[in-house]
Order: sequence, then C-alpha cells, then structure tokens
Amino acid sequence: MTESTDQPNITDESNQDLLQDGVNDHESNNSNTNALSPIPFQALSKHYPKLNAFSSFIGWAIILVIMFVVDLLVDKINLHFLVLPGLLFFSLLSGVVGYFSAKACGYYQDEFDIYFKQGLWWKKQVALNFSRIQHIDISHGPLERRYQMATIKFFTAGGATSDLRISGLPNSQAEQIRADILRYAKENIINDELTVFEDDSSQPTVHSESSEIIESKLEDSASEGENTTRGNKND
Amino acid sequence: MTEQTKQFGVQEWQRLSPMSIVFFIGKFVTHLIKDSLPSLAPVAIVIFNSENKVWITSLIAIAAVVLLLGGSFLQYWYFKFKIEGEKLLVNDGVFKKNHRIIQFDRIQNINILQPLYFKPFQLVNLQVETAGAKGNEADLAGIPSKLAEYLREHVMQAKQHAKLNVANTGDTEADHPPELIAEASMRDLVNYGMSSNGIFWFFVLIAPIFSMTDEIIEKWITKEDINYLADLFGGGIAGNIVLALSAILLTLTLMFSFSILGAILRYYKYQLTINSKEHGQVKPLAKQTLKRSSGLLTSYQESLKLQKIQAFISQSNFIGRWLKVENITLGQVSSGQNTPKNRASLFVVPARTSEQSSQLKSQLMEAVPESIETVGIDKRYVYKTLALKLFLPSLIICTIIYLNVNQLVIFAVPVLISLIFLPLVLRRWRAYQFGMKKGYARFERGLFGFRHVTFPLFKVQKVEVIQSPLQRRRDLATLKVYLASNKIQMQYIPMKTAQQWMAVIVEQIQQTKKAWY
Repeated sequence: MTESTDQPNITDESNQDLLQDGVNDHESNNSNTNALSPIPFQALSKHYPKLNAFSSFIGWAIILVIMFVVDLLVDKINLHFLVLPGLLFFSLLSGVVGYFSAKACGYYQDEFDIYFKQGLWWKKQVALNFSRIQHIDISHGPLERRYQMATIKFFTAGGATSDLRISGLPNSQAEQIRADILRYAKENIINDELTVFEDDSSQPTVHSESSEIIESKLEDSASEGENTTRGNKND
Repeated sequence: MTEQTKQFGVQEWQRLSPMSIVFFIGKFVTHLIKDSLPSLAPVAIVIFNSENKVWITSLIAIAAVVLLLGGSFLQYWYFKFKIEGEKLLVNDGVFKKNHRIIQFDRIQNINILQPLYFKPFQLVNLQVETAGAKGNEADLAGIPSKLAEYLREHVMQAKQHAKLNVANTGDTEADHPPELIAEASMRDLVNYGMSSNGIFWFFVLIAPIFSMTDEIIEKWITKEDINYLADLFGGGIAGNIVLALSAILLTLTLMFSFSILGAILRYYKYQLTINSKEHGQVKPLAKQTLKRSSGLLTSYQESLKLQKIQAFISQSNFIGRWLKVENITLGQVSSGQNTPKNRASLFVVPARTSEQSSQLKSQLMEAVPESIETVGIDKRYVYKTLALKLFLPSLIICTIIYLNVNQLVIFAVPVLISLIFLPLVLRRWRAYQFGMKKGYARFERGLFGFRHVTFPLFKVQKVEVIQSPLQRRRDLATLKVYLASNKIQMQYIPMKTAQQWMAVIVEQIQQTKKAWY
C-alpha cells in the first residue's frame, strides 16, 4: 500500500498521470476525457428566477404577517420596533438571493448523463449517469403549473444524499429528459433497475404521447426479460 | 415449481414455528427498551402515587405479561409466508396488515441466524435483505434450518437464472468445496474488539440506561462516599487524582471488555469462504459468492456476491495501528443510515494484517492494482482548519470572557490553542491522500487511526464538485463521490483535478458495461 508522503504536493502533471492511468486502461477515446472543456450548461425556465424569488420571499413574509397580526391584536405582546422592519428586510433579501441563485442554476444533458450546477457562493456541479438512476419523479407545484414548469427528482441507490433534484425545468424539457432516460433504459437493459412513476396526485399531468409509448414498450421488454424492473418497496 | 418446493409445502401459505413467539417477545422487549422507555414514565407515576403500591404493581405486571404474550401470539398467528414462482410473499401485522411481495432478483442478501433458543429445535431465522429497505425486508424467524438453506439456494439460483441465464447443471457445493480465505482466532477477535469503534458504541448503548439511572446514582453516591473513596486512596489532592484516574481506567476497561465481548459474541469461529470454482474451472469474479459464518450464542451465516461489493474499506483506530491490524468492511448497497442495526449487518472481516488485507482485496476485486499511488491535498486545508475551526471559535469565546473579566492576557488562549493543535491538524492533513489507477480509486484519511477506501470508479452513483468562497480564491474545490454504500470526499484539491476526476468517473461509468450491482 502506498505510504503517506511527508510532504504532500500536488502537481498537475502527477495528477494527469494518475488520471490517464485510470482512463487508458479502458481504451477510451471519448471526447469527455477532456475535463477542462467546460460543460455547456443550459439555463432553466425563464420564469424560474422570479418564481424562486417569490417562494423565498413568501416564506419570510408569512412570518412577517403573523407577527404583524399578533402585534396588532394581542395586547400583551409588544414587539420591538425593529422586528417587523427586520423581517421585511429579510423577506426582500431572501427574495433577491432566491432570484440570483435560481439564475445561477443550470443543467446539461448528453446521451448518457445529466449534469447540474447550482450555488451563488458555494458552487456545486453534479454529474449523474442515466444507468445509475433507480427511478425518476416529476412533480408540478401549483405555481410551477401556472408557468408550465416541473421539478424532476432522480433517485439513485444509496440513500437520500445521493439523489438529485432539479427544480424549474420547462415542462417539455422534463418530459424530454424522462423520455431520454426511458429510451436509455430500454436500450441498456443490462442493469435492469429502472422504474418510473409519477408523483402527481395533486393534479392531472401533461403526458407526452411518446413517453407513454416508450413506457409501455419498456414494460413489455421488462416482462420479457423476466421481471427486470425494480418494484417500489411496498408493492 | 420444483419438487423440493412442494416437499417443504412452501407453495401454500405457511406459518412459522410456534417457537417464533419467543422471537416476537424478544423483538417487542428490545423495541421497548431501545425506543419507548421514557413513555413508560406515566406508569411509574401511577404506581408511585397509588395508595396500594403492591396491588397496582402486580396488576400492571400481569397486564403487561398478558399483553406481551397475547401480542406475540397474535403476531405469530398472522405471520404467513409462501413462495409463488420467483417471489416470496409475506403477510403479517395484527392491526395494520402488511402484504409484502419480494421478488427474488431484488434480494440482496439472505442471512441465516440461529439464536440460542432456536438451536434445540433445529430452527433458524432467515433474514431477507433488499437494497432499498432500512432494515431487513423480511424476517422469517422460526423456520426449519433445512427449509432456510433450501430457500437460500433456491433464491440465489433463481437470481442467477434471471440475471445471467445460466443453466442449472446441478453443480453443487459438494463437487467444489468452498475455499477458506479468512478466519479469525480468539486473539484476532480481541484485536478486533480493541481496534474497532465498538468501544464507542459502549456509550451509545449505556446512554439510555444512564439517563434512567442517574437519579438513583445521585442518591446512592453522595459527596461523602466520594470523599471516603478519596481517603482510601490516601486523601487530599493526591487521593482525588488517584480516584479520578482509577475511574477513567475502570471506564476504559469496561469499554474494552464490552467491545471485545461484543466481537466474540458476533464473530466467534469466524470463517470467510469463497466458492470460486465451477466444473473444475475458476468462475469469473463477478459470479463468485462469499460466505461468512460466525457467532457464539447466535450463529450467523451470511452470503454476498462479489459483484455486489461497492467498496473495500480498511480501517483501524490508534490501538489497531499499534497492534498492526486493520478491519475490513465490504461496502454494500445501503440506505445510507448509520444506525446500529445497519452496522450490525455490515460485512466485516476482522483483524487483518496489512498483507492479508491487500491479498484479500485482490481476491475480491477484479484486476485491482496492487498499489495505487496517491497525492495529498493543498496546505490551505491547514490554514482553514486552524483559522475557522480553532482560532475563530476560541477567539469568540475569549472575547465573551474578556468582556466579563477584563484581562487582556486571555487573548493568548486562541493563539495557544491553535499552536497546540497544529501538529494534529498537520497530521490529519498529511493523512488525506487520494489517487486513481486502472479504473480504481483510493481515498485515505485518518488522524490516530486510518480509513482507506478502494473502489472501482464505474460503481460510482453520483459525483459532485463543490467550491466554497474561500476555495474559489485559490481555485481549489471539494470532490464528493457517492457510492451506493457510502459517500467519500476529498477537500482542498485543485479545481482542475476535481473536474478531471469527475470527467474520468463519468467516462468509466459510460464505458464499463458491467452491472454495478
């Protein structure tokens, strides 16, 4: 086993070598090896920033209203004169932060993977391969419905921390991603681990016809392959 | 449906053995002690405030026993199972009915346990684990051991058929006895007890008991008692110091005895075998199965397909380092919770030397490189830890103290604390190492002990690169790798490196057409 060196040093070359070691072994000449070509992230729905700003604002605003009503109606409680303006400030601030953090989000999808980035100060980039997705969940909140947006959640094995959630996607994009993942699953029934169900108890969903066809095809091929789908836990 | 399935009658709904009532009683009592002791407080208040304490206590005791026996009987009565095609069907629940259908190809592990009270009756507890469930998906407690073994073989075979389309050739274990690859002597178990973190689980376990009894302890052990003991040790300051030291020593002894006892109970007669051959030829690694048998009072038999191993984790604490042993955990798909129950089902290989460990690794992981060269992380980790985790918090506390005592000298404390901890921070910084080679990666960390994780890159579930505002100024980043078994991260590495890792992992996943699970 490798011994810890007394003075760890990072040189780009050494890491390059290690990485190349890892790659060469699998006779790759995939374009993705070039790590430094930036991922061409796409923006989410154009309505998402204002929606996110509103929902961040409303959280504080509800507290503000409750405090205001209590202050007004209950004689015994007299809030410090700074409390209400302070809350108003926080509501507005979180609205602004919500707006810009939504703007900072982006996603990119290629043939096999979905990428997602987020964060204003703590920036995060995530990569998730289609073959690691256990099931996906598309939901539409009331506001999202109004602007034809969707939240898509990808569940992977290994607990809640390894899931990925993308809010503010245009409906058509979310449907497209789902269709792509289903198509991928159909083509690669090697892992046989994909089920898709939709969490839309609240309202009717816009089902794109193509995805339904693919879904039924997937089911067909799954039953041929002797129960290749993973059921959900309490089936 | 095979002849044997008919022979055991499992194609019809079956009850467990009536002995399972004992299991249900045990389960209920453990649940009560672990989770609901505080909710019994009202009962204690009722007893305490009643006039006729004896009468009310016996009434409550009788009610409890009747409830326990009745409840356990009903649980036994409503628990039924059968096998239908390639599915295990389990119905249970007295008021809330559960109907579970477990498809064989979803089953991750089948473990066979034989608690002491089942031994005279040749009964066992068959535990079915699936990847998604928090605990066991189903416990068939109280079925004949022959049926359990038949079920295990049947399920494992059925899985192979479904996944790999391998025809059953009637090749049995008798033709190719499994090869023993690891066992643990009593000495190994003692080493494991000392070098695993079982010593800390001691506190987790005693915490509920302690919170219950601290009032009693307060009443029993008065200041006079302590003074008396201190006098016994010679009195005065020296006596008190000796007393404190002996108390620490006693706690340590208890901790270690507890941990060693736990290790012996769980891993007594530990044997790890592998069935690597079929028709006289070595099977591909992915098709080989590990079997582990151990246990003093309860015998455990567990099996694990090599293909399902997500990571090879070798770790040790400072005692293990001194004893030159490490304990190996084979990472499997988990629901991510670090609960005692999840820990109990971990696939552990206790007390290996570092040579044994690397030998085991090459036996269990396909084409794993003998060694993976690693590099360290950026030295800004040291600055950040010193500044944000040591200096700043102590500065804040000292400022608050200063406002009260008005002594400038107090501001030397943050500097002193940072200096005192500097060697530890440096040691931790040096221990952070990472590297990849030939499709495998290795992450190391540690302080007094160590934890080394080796995993095939293509088994990664998700990769994240995170950059905090502090890291952005130096173009550093944190790389987080989510495996189905655990999450590992490396902080303060160059952003470029982190992105390269992400790209390589993404590519490995795309190009490796092997099943990750």
